[in-house]
Amino acid sequence: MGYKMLSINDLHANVDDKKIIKGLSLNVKPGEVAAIMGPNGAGKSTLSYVLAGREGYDVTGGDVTLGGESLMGLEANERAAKGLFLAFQYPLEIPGVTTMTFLKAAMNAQRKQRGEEELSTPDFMKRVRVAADKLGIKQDMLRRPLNVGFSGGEKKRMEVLQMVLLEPKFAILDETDSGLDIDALRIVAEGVNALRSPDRGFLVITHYQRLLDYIKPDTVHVLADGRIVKSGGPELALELEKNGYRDYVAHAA
Amino acid sequence: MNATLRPARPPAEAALIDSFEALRNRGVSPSREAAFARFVERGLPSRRIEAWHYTDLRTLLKSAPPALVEPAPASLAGALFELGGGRDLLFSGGALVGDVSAPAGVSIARRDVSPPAASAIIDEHDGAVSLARAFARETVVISIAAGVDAGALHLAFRNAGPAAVSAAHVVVSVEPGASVTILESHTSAAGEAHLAQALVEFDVRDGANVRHVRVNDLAPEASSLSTLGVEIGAGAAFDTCSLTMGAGVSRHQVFLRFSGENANAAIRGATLVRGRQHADTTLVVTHAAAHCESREMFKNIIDEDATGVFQGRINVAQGAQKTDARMSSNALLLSDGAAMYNKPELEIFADDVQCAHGATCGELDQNLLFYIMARGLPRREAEALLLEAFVAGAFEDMDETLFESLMEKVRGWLAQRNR
Repeated sequence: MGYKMLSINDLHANVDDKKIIKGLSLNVKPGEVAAIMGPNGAGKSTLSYVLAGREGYDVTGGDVTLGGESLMGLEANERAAKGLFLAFQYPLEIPGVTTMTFLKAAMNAQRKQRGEEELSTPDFMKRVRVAADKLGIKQDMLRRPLNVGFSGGEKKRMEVLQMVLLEPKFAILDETDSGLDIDALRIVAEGVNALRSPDRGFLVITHYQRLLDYIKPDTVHVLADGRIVKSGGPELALELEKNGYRDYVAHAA
Repeated sequence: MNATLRPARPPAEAALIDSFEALRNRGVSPSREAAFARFVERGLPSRRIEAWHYTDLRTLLKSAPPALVEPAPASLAGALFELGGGRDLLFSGGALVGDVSAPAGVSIARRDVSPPAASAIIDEHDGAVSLARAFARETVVISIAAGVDAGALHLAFRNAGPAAVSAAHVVVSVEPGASVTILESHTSAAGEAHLAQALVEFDVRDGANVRHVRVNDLAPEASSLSTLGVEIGAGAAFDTCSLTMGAGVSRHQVFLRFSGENANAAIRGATLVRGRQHADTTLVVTHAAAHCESREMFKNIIDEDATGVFQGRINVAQGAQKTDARMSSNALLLSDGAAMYNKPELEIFADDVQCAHGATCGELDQNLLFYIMARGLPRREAEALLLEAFVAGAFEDMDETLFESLMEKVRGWLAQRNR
């Protein structure tokens, strides 16, 4: 299938006038799970923020399209409403806003921007209950302020819960494995795998191959010094695990 | 008289003196005359007085309207509180008008302005206090009989009609073991530069339980000077919450004293201002008895070119051992033109106490905003979510109905933010 879901074309981006992304191109097809691996400082997190539309991450060239529509110039919320989801490496705590309130506000804000009806409370409650049960998230956690006092694993599960409820077209997972023990990693990966479908794409950003044992990628791309320097199948991840990034760091320099 | 000794009274001060002299022809009581003499001697508070350093009325009040001769017709329309069975008391220009019948166990009396209480919790030399006592037409005394649960009373202070200077004086006496909820709402006619004053005094006797909420929703052209004096007896509980959104210039000052042991008080408030508003909240909390607990929690949202002031002072007297007092004031500045002055103070003469204060000033967390926007909320909604949660922090553990009615006001203010 030649149709491009997420298409990044010769992207250049600066943070504080420093060039971080330097001509990055990548296509991800519907149903594809693409993994981006790379050494520290390669620009992995910057890429995720640039894609999600974070203020201060200035695109100086190139284009990103989702389902054929350009995301450039759109605010983060507009990109979310178009179906882009970023699972944060470090999910934030929001004191004073209960998880339920937050989930409802997010779901309805997206629906509103797409011109859809807001969810009825019973419908919303049911969706949350079903999704939370599958991820082993207890009801009392949903009544607490979002992520406040949650463990690393609980925060990542909460990210997956949001992803499940928001039903994005395309999800970016930014170092989702960081700070997780094996059990938490398995639960999170199962949540992600359950969302895999022929019309949804994923970009899995990770430093370690470990996560890819649980979320099996279709393609693997090496990011170094702001661009993709090598692409291949799952075997590329294993090669990186064995040899490390030194070839690519050297290549970049 | 002294007035002639000052070469230049600022215009607002001179106008207030003229206003009072016009009233004098209609007859004022000796205690009002005495209060007026204190005002004339000191004049409007200026930055040279430490307690008014950040709220210099000589420059903030450009002028003063004439004295109110007769209260304008007012109505309860648009009442700020849904009471569900509570009683409304309507005040116009500081005077009690309309129905004054009281529920069982409660008496409501109108008197000539009463002289300051002997216990002097309130600083009688404070300019706002002497001015309010001088201009108050009457003292409304609300008494809750011992052991009675009086439910809720809504004191609706309206300032209708053309701009005027007026003052309300209310004394609430809560006898031992009684309980009551007193809600104050202050509004004024749109576009009119009223100078609305209020002096509310509580005498909370042993074991009584009082909840008090004050909402300042005056028009932006109006100015507001408000003083709350509270004396708390042994084993009593007092919870006061002020929500300040209105008036171009406002000062709400609280003088609260624990005079009996094992009492507790929550003193909380939220200030939401924008445009060129100036809002000052000043507290003096005195722990004069042992084993009392006080919590002071204030949240300030300052937008556009507005200014916020928080001054909080906790005094712990020598014998007030085991005092537990914690004060916090947090401000969020939403624009480059916004300013906040936080001045917490502790003065402790006892050696076995726990006292703490914390004051912060900051901006909305950009990381949090991005996180919320990345989930689909437009910037303004993401900000509103964070701001609402911030304000709610001051209203923790409040009665749920009161909490909701206050948050409804807060949401209304947030919804009007533009840009």
